[in-house]
Amino acid sequence: MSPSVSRPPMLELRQVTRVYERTAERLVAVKHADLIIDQGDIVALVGPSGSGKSTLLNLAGFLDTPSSGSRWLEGKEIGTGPLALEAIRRDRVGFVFQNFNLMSVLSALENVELGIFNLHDKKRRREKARAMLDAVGLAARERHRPGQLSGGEQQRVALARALVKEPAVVIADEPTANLDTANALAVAELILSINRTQRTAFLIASHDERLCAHLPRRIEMLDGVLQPEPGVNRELVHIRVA
Amino acid sequence: MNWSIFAWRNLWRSTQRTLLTMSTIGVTAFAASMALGYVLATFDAVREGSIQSGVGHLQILHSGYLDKIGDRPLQYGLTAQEQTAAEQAVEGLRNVATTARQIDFDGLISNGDLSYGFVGEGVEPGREPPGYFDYHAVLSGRYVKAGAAGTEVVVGAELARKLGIHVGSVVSLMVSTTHGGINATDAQVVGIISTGTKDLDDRIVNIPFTAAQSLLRTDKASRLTVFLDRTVDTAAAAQILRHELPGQDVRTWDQIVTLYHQIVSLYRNQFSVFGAILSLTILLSMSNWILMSVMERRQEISTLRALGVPASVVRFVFVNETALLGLLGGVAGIVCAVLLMTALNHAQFHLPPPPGRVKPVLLEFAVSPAAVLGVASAFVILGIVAALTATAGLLKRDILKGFAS
Repeated sequence: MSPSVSRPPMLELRQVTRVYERTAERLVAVKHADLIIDQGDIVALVGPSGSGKSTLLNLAGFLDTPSSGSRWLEGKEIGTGPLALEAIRRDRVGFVFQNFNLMSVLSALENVELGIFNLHDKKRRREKARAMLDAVGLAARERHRPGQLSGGEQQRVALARALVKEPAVVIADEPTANLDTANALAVAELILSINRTQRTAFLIASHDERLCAHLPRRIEMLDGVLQPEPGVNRELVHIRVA
Repeated sequence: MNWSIFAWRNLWRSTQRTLLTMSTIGVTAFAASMALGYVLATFDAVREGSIQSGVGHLQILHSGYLDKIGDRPLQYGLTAQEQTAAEQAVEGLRNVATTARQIDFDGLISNGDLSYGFVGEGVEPGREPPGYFDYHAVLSGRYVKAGAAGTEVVVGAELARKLGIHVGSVVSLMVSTTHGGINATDAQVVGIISTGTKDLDDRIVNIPFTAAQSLLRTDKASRLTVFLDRTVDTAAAAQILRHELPGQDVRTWDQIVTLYHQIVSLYRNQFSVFGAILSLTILLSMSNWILMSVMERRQEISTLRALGVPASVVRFVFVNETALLGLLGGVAGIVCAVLLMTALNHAQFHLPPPPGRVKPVLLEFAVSPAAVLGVASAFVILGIVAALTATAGLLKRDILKGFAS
């Protein structure tokens, strides 16, 4: 028997702290956060407004730089150089935003292509984007622009844009907050389905119980501090939402 | 990812604002093109007008004729041998339309009761190319002919009026000869002419070249004027003649008509100021457009940055947008200007004579491909400068601030 090799976590935060000193007052938004997300993990980050969820997401998504602590992606410590961070955001991290943040002048297909804009082979880029759009059930709407899509469809396009690059982790900030129940459930189901089939790791900040109730890991954040994590309920990921 | 298509679509996000800014650019391009067309046509008119008014493309002179002051008329004139040598040298040139000798002199003209000083010109009308002397509008009678029996003259309109003479009158011309003596001849007035310049019409008298030589008792000429088929060949022809005639003075038209350079310099300065004001206006207009666009699209910019799109690429998109804005607005204005200039040129409108002139001036515009390209390029460059200035801070901008807005 060959010895088992332990795979490094997809994303790891070690003692990450973020302090804002823009005003006379010193604001510690995130305090000594430790977080490990393995391949296939899907983590709900919950907590009241102002608890530091978004700041933690920004740090985990390499959009912000921690005041102290370290960040590790696929076993490598990530520095703070802007070019390195840009490359990580481009290749290894996917983002899903509350307001979808699609480019209004691009079609659904072109928006998905934006996720792999650096893939210079146009044909290959288009094929990948089309396959991903098909995976989120919007193959028939590839020519439609965001303004011609419903909120749920727009979020599915945004999800396809985040996933098309085959990221190490997808960071989602309130992905269902602006959707009606039917669309929220559809998006939640899609996230769970992708997580299950593709083993893509997700870190999702959400208030939405329609989504969080079905996520196996749930971490609460209060006053910038990640609360001790209760046991992981692996069973939840197998529950169909709709 | 085709960022240029992305830029093109972004350009039309706010159609009304884009069209308004484009209109501003278009009107400015129109004004600049019209002004440039008029200025270039003026340069052409002054250049060709000077050449055609008897200066010719080239003049061959005895060394010192234009620089030294002689004791006697034609002391520094071209000798007969020099005239022959010059004509032989000119025969070796290509693209020569014709040559003509001229004699400048002055003296007194009298109708018997009244005498006035005149500025005389001995001309070879048979050798001068048609159209080159159309600045001499013959008001009555005809122009002088070569080989006519007796001495005939044409007189400037103002001089004729002061002397009370008309076609058919006989006048006496009295001059100093090249030997220092006095000579006089009777001549018949065959025409009254107008040069378009009142001061010149007050003094001018033209007589045939051989008659002028007889009157001055000389075989010399003031100059041999060379008319070429095309003005652009002037410099090359001058170089050959200078090589062939090392002892003679070969001058190009622009060395003689120094006014041309003064006019070019004046217009160039005026157009530079005008151009700078227009450029500043357009720069501000485009900067306003792009700044509003950047402000409105802060979230989109942050999204692109979050997706890993380099700030330089985002900046490139904005540069593309304003360059397109400048190009489209500029081309629209230029096309309108070219159409109007072509129509006005076709219509042959005449402007009232300028001060001191009696002939109306033809309103003309030069439609130059180089000028059109220059104006269009200027607007594209202005667009690029506006975008680069407006997006200078984009490279350092915090991604999260865009999401917060």
